[in-house]
Amino acid sequence: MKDELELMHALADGELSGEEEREARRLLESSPAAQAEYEWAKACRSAVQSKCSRHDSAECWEKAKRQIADIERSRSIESFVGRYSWALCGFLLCTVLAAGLVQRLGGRPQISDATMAGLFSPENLAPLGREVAQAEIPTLIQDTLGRANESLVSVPEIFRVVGADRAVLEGRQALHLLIEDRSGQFSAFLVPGVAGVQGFDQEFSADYQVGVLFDQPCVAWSNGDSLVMITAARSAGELLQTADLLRSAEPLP
Amino acid sequence: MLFKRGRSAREQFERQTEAIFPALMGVALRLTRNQEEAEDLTQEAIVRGFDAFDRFDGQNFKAWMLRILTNLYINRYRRLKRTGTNVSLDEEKMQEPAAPEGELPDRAILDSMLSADVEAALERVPESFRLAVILSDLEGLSYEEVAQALEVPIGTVRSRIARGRAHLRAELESFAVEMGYIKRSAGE
Repeated sequence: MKDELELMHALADGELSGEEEREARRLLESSPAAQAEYEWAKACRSAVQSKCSRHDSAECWEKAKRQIADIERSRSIESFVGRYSWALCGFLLCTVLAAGLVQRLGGRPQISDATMAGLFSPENLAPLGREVAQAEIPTLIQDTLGRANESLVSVPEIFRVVGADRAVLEGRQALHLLIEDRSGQFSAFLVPGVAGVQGFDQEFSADYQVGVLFDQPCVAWSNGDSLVMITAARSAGELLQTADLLRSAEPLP
Repeated sequence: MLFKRGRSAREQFERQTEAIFPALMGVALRLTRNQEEAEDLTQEAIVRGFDAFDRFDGQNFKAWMLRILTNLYINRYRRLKRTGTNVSLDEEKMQEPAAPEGELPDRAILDSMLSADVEAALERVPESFRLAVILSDLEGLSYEEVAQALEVPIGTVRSRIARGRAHLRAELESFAVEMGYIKRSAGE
């Protein structure tokens, strides 16, 4: 019976064909119950179609369209990044490598003022443990800088080395000389393979960089492929005069 | 036919969706019975549809989108059920409507009923039956399309439509008796 009723609904909806339709029509003619069900199915369909309103919301549709547009936009960005990520990474890597290469080949290697400040720490200095004879200074300088023609030791009547320490700075050998002149003592740091100090005033003059470490003025200059930095408890102007004197001295024979 | 992504795919999707948008909204509204929830459901279905548009087989867009919408609704319903909301979609547990004892609400009575009455009666029809009736009678989907949309065999669609209409008749009948459109039978 239940199947017969379902058959009437399917017939009313035009969903039957062939033998099933013929059977349904036979049933329709012979059974008043089937006929009533068939009529109800048609009436119900018609009532639902005519009485139930259709809903629309322009605002909702606009919202949905905006969401679709957003999705597509984010997809196209993802797609671009996904497709060209290797190229972007490659470009970035090449840029970093090229910058490193330029720095190494063409640039002037620099050392930071913070690293230079480390030279002031006793932990980084290894005293030679004895009084240094004036005659030993060229050898010390040669050991440190790889050459002996350092001018600062060529005028013993003006400058006298009274102490020396070795230091290792970022893997580099450095030398600290405590030098005495007419104004007192000053420190000279010799660091090979460095041309300047980052953080010092580069524009001060063509020859010198001037900075301050531990409230003490410092003057640095490039001496071939080495850096010389002097510092003392005296004014920057006096230090510059000292530096001029040191640099104007004749090299050792 | 599978669609390629791109501007044309989006335009194609939008064009097809706009055409069936009232149907999507209507079904969503009758499922959720709440304008705001219906709008959310419809929008989410559209977004899901766009996401999966490259997998659409190109045959029946309306049935495909309605399937997405109803699946979304059912999944939501299942979540709600897990959190304790008391709604049942289980057909086996549903009671058959009482057999008509008085007069059937005939065409004239149906015609005299207000839209709101029919809407209200339809709302009281159990969910799965109501959905089948809406898709078939209101949205004009064939049984095969309803079967596609609901992902059930065509025999189940046939049964749900017949049972849904029976429920609707029972609801309309009690309303018609209440309003005095038809008389109660002597036994009542």
